[in-house]
Amino acid sequence: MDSIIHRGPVDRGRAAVITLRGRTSWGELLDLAEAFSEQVAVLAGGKVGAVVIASAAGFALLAALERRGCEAFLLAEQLTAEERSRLADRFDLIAICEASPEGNLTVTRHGASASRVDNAAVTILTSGTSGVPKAVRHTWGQLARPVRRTDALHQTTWLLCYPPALYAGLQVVLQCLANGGTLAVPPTSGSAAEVAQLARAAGVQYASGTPSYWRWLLTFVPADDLRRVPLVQITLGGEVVDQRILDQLHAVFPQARLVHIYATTELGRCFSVTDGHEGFPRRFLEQVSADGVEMRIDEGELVVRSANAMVGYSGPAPAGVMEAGWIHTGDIVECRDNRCYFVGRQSDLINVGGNKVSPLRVEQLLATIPGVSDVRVFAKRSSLVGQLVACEFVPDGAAEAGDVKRAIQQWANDNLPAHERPRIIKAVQQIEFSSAGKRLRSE
Amino acid sequence: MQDDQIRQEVVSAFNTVFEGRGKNPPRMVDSTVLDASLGLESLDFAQVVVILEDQLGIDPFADGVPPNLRTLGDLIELYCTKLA
Repeated sequence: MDSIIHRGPVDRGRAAVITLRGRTSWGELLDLAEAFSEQVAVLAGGKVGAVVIASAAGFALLAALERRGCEAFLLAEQLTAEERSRLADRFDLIAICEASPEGNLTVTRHGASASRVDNAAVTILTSGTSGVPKAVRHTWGQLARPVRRTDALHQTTWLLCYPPALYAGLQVVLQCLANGGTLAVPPTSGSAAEVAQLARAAGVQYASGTPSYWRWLLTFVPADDLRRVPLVQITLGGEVVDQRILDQLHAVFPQARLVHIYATTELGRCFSVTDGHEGFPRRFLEQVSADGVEMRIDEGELVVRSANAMVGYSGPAPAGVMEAGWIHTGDIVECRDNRCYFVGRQSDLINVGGNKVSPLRVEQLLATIPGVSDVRVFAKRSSLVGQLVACEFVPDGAAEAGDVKRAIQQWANDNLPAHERPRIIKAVQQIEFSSAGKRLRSE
Repeated sequence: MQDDQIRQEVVSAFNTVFEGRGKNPPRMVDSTVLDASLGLESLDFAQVVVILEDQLGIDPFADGVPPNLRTLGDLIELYCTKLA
């Protein structure tokens, strides 16, 4: 019944959610969920849009919709009223619910559809890299399946570094609140310094984010400030995790366990790696995991069947993705010796006059050039050859941008074939990433 | 935009590409033939066009490569015509 909120007895005075503006106790969270549940009783069993704000009220709304057996379509808070309305039409939603951070719930009825669902469910809208939104439907049970409930995790403190309307964010919320823990929620589009300030004040022990997110924190918060966060575990996911970021995090947080996770919205959590090395052991391909995940490589692409997977798509399934329970992930994997490494996504490959270039691979090479603090490689459209390789780099503190640019050009001339060389090179203050925490691969 | 300015932008784009390749830019005149003898590869020409699109806001190759394009003078004239 209650997937999101701890089922056992709770200390009502303990903080459930902490933000820079204040705290919400477990007692307040439970009361909010109860009040919202009364308010959405009229929507029972219906398909309902839920604007998921990163706050206690947002989580209480999800708990209320689960209790009422609704199918909750998770809507990001950044969506405009028009976009919400269009989604409501497309998915035949009977209402859109939005909770304010102060704990007021607004229910906007939409159409008089009689569509009913049999079981409480959650649909996650994911734009992916192709730009065509997919609607991925899970049951609460499937979503909560990877969640660990252990004595060690009981009443621990977590940091939310993903939007809670996406799979990764929802996992963090579930993992924390199902263990009666405390969730530290940074302000949406807050600065790195604010995130670190909150993490220190809340005493965050568990934090999960994309490599881009962690690089951002490492770049903009002094290491001595970061060290004051009492982290016991750092989790990375959502993007390819390379050795460089693992080593950088280990240098700042030597006491923290480093975990990298492979999960997708469709497949759910597939596996995690805890040995501190990039990639994953080849034996993962040879056996069904204890979590019920099977993997194989098909023409270089990782193909997976998972017990944590979605129920299915709400609406039409994208072509070529599913095949008898197996899902084509679009992630390219290369195996060397007893280890497999992610090379990037098929859709991210840059097509330079027919040659396919992995932006991730070029990025990893350019990142080793002295003076380069961070670098993003992406495709630049070219009428003559399709696409060219372009890059943005952040110069190291002391380095002069022009010198670093020349160093990149020289290194590329000496070491890369013509089609892999970045042709357009620009110095930037910081590397941007999407609201999902992922590096952008377009111009 | 003046034809002189366009000429400057085109020559400057070539210079940028030569410098990026670690080569000294050659002196380029209208009769300079744009082929391998210049020391540039096809991707280098593609780079020139992308740089000029950023600088001048147009890509005269968007609908294909026009015939009879051989020299620097031809290329400058192409940009001048499109921007006229």
